[in-house]
Amino acid sequence: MKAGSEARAVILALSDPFRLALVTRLALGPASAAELAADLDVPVEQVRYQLKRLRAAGIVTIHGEREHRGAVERTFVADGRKLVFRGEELAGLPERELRGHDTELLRIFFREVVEAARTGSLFDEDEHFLVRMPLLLDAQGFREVGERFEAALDRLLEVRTQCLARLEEAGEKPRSATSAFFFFEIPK
Amino acid sequence: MVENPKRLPREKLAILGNDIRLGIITSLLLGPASVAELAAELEVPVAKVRYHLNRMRDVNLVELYGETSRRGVTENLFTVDPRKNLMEPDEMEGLPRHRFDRPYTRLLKQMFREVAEAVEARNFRSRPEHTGVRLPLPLDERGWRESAAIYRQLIDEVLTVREASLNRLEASGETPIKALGMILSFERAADGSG
Repeated sequence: MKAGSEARAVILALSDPFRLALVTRLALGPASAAELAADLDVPVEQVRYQLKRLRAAGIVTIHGEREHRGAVERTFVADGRKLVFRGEELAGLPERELRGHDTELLRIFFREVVEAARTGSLFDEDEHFLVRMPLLLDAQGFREVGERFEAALDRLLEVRTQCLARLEEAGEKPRSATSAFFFFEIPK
Repeated sequence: MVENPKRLPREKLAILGNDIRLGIITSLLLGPASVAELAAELEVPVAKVRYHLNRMRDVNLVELYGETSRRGVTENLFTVDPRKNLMEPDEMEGLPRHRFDRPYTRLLKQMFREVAEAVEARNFRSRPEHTGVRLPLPLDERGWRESAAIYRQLIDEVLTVREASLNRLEASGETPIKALGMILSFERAADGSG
């Protein structure tokens, strides 16, 4: 749970396509600035500059240090919980900032889906989900569905944490997923 | 009841491949309706609605809900059981890829359109319960299984809340809220670092 001002800093930090790409990469596992620069095909200075900003917002933290070609290199990781907002955290934040964030998030998500569809990984596996549920609800039902989504999200974040720990211990590479939950009132 | 085991999955996919069918199912999931009401809502001829409805009734995707009397004419009302509409992985087995590639792509487009419209209308902010989350997940094999179990449980819970809600709405006459719940999860493209 983030305080209002903290939520705002996170929203602003994530409203930029490059920073969002950095955070996405770091949400999938630790990496150094040099690795990020190579992955995203940008100068390392640019990565360092934006990492500072993301660290200031509390989204990215230092994961550890390691030796690389005789130099000590820091690795960074993104906090998955920071990518999840509760409705009440966003109350009172400026409309323009929220819109910038929502638009950027939808754009990256759309790109990920299109990319997965193009390479064929979208519909391949039994564990893949594509579920659309039109729902007629009363006010109580609406609250309850929101709660169920939130609880599922908490469980998912728990699975994520455990996976990261197991993967690190085993030195394995993850088979990464993109997951998305949407629950909203249909515009009238 | 269903003589050809392949027919049900095909009819389910046909819902996604056809705007009229998707419209019928969406509308019936939001409440029982008659053929005439569906035709008016979707702005298509009654005969077309009846044709698609009958094909879906053949495989029990659409069911009779009851009767209503309007202007002295008795009309059938239809409904849909959302649990029967879910496409299970084992149903897709053996179906050629092109059978589900296109329908699923259409469904995705539809979902994107709906989410984008809701963002545009600021609906994600109108109630605190609204959810809009996209999460990159590093998973091992166990993580994939566990996350799939979470989604299945969530679907089941949401549909259970929906049923209780429908029962209460029938008794209370409260103005219902039309909502959409969506779950997407897929493996990221190999080079998909963002």
